[in-house]
Amino acid sequence: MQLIFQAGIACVKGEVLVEMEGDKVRHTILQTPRGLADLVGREVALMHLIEEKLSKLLASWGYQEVHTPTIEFADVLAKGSEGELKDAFCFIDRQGDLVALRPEMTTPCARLLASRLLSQPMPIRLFYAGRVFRYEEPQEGRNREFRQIGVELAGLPAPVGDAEVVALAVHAFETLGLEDFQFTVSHIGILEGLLEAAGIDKEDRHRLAHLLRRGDFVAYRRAVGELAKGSLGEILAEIPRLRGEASLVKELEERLAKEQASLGLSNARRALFELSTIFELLEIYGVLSYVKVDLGMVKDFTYYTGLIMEGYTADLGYTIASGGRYDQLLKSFGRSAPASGWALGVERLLLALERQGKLPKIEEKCEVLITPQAGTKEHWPQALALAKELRKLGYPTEVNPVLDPGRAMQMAKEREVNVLIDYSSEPKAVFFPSEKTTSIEDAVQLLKGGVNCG
Amino acid sequence: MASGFLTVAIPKGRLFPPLMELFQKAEVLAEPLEEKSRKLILEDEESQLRFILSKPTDVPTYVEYGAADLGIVGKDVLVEAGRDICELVDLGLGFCKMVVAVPKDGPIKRVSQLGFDSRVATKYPNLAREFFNRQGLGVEVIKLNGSIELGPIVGLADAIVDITSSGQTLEENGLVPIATLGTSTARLIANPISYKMAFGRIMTIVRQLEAVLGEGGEADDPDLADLGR
Repeated sequence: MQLIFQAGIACVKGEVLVEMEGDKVRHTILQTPRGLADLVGREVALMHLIEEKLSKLLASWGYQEVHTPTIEFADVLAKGSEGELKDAFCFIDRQGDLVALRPEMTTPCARLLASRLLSQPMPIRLFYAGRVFRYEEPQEGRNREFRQIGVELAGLPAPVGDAEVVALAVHAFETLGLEDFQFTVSHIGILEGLLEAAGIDKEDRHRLAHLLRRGDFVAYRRAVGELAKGSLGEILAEIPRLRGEASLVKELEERLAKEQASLGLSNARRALFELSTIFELLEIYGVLSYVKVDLGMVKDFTYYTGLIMEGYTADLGYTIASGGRYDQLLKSFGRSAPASGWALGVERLLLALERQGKLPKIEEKCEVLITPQAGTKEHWPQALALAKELRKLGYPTEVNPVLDPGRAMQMAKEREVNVLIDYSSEPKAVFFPSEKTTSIEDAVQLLKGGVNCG
Repeated sequence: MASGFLTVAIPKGRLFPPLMELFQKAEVLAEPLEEKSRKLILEDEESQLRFILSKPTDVPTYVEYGAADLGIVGKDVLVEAGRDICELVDLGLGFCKMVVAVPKDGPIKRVSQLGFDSRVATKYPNLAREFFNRQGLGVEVIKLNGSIELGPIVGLADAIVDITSSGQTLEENGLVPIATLGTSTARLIANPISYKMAFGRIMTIVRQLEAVLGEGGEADDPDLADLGR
């Protein structure tokens, strides 16, 4: 008991003054841990709406929904990040195993593909909607718990699989009515191949990739200037600025073909070729205008092997969707197969839609409050039968007994309902905000006919 | 962001005059802005640029959150803030060194003499901690907001970590530098999404600036970038 009590002390508390029966009372508020938040009412409804729309779209492309556990063995999750789990909430379960809250969904999906779905024939299309947890510094649009919707397409290699997932991501944004959005893509082998061809060793390659990831282009260009000379050095220095239309890929292909050391450039050229074939397919999908190339893009996750992609809008200062190709991840679970996918942050999507004034409309239903008198059984049978009928018609209906007959009107206003059916005094119905009063029978007729509330 | 005004967060204070000079020379601006005006937001119709005048330490925040597309800020502030932004150009302005300094006549002559019981006062606690951690020195870092040189004089700290350009302030307070963490100059930074969405316009400004900046001399001391996370 002592221990439990002590644990309670560690809670973060806040105090507010609340009014209770006319008196100001001190009230202690227990806070949630940093970076974790409650969502209520409209926020939850919006999230459901968005996820429903997206789920429908993903299912219509032949993707099957999966739920995977929130908690996994830490070493399973670590397979997605070279054995390192740096941003995950880890803890030890009662058997002494090290487990973690999933920081992303791709690795659990890979595990699933190589376990319960082992006998399903490839290609396999999965989608998920769930919470992930990351121990990061919380900021706007970046909490420690957030929802992701995403897809994994296993068994289709580049460029076909890549084009499908990129096109699907574009449609996902379109379905939600997001405006002014863009996707950028690159291929992880381009930068990697160029750095290799320039004779830059693995440690320096990591350092340069790290600088690009951090967006420190000044330090990157300086470091490249020291490490690589000649025309290859020039191309490498330009990398963060090589962004724009798909034609840029072809241009770089041509430039590399002219390089003296073109033999050493075979990896970079193969990656460029793959990227340009992905673009050819994107044109057939009809989504080319939404997709740009950004050769300076570097990703956080180490499992990517080919295409990498990001999606964003001008109205939000950070990416909404992120993904790529990971051809080695499934192999680490014992089922060799190429795969690609993406995930998008649902909270970020909501923020972007809100800023664009494009939040989906929540269907407004007349809300009904029925108030039988407390302390008596009189009118309860009618009240409950009516509640049942109205709920069937789709009107959110709550039944709250009132003691004092005058209280019903006040309660209806506090709760901002559209219709009050009051049995606590002379039975009557009141419509809000007009406060027009009718008989209960007339009100039910109106509601059956589909009354316009508000 | 993509069309209309681009918003640029610029620091008030010592960087402002040379910055205006550079902007004019690079033809980013036809007329310099007036720092003295009480306005916090200035618009330049011709260049379609909107300027937010802010405290230097707030510039990375405005840019990370997308309240400003671009910003100008010292590398020292940038590394300390550790924000998600893109760093585009070294403007070469506001050169300074970040140093560890100790009392001239005190017992400490080398950084390695600072032990777990030593206290270091600084405006840059993240940078200082990283620097000492990398050398396995578990010193106690104390954050101060100004007049760092006072720390050792009043016995609050054994050493300080601070920026210095001429070394004069240090000398006047009886302090000598014993190590350099790195050098710092002002940088043009961008919100990562703005950099993508308004790439063409931002690159025009980058090229205008680079055209008048030249190559930029190689300093003897490493850039503070190496201390970044």
